[in-house]
Amino acid sequence: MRAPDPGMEPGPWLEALAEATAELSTTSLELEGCTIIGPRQSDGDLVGCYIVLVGDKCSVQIAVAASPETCRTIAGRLFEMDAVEAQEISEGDVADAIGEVVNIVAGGVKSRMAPYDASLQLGLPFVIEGVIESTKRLRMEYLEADLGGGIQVVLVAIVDTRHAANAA
Amino acid sequence: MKILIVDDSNVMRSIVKRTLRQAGFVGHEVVEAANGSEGLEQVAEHTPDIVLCDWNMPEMNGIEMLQELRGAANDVKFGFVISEGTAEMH
Repeated sequence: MRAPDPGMEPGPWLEALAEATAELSTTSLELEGCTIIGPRQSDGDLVGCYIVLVGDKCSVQIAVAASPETCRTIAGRLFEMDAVEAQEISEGDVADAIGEVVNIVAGGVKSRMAPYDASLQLGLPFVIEGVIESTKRLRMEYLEADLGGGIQVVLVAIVDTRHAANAA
Repeated sequence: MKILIVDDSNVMRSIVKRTLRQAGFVGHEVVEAANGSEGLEQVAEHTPDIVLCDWNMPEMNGIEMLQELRGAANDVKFGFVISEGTAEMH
């Protein structure tokens, strides 16, 4: 069977994202890993933190999306707070926490995908609430995942196929 | 041992503290600062044994803080905590 082309297909990026998220889950969040529940059609009305990885061969957005309540729970775990204390975390610190989560997993994705494109550079994370609309040049895939501790997230990979086509 | 963590991200300072604990650094005094300028003040006040510092920060970044310290003949152990490398870091 043909191996998927990371320049054109989100699959390899989602696989790397799931591995990097599992690593984060067991270390910084002290949770159980990352169990894939299954594919999803969109990130719905979740809060997604996106970051771009751009290299000579590809341009990809990856994201971790979750409900606002789950984002707060994740922030609470990073600050080592219980559920009650986590309610006091400011919106800014919740956004900062989700940004750091994505920054860390993006570093893991970058190192895992380096054999494909060693020139990958990370952008800055940004938070979006709402549905991302696709265009013809984008290929988007979503995976629902369970990190344990009642935390379910959606992993997102969006590949800019024209970047890869122009690089070829 | 006294450890100074310098990072403009509150959550990143928490992550560094947890990582230190997971690596077996338990029971040490940890001091925090949110940028290089605050970091210099904390070095003067607490005389840490080691500084763990972010690279990009507002007001004074990590390399500027290190240059200030070495310029003042302060040879405190200093490490950068970063998620990726750039040419200017070499």
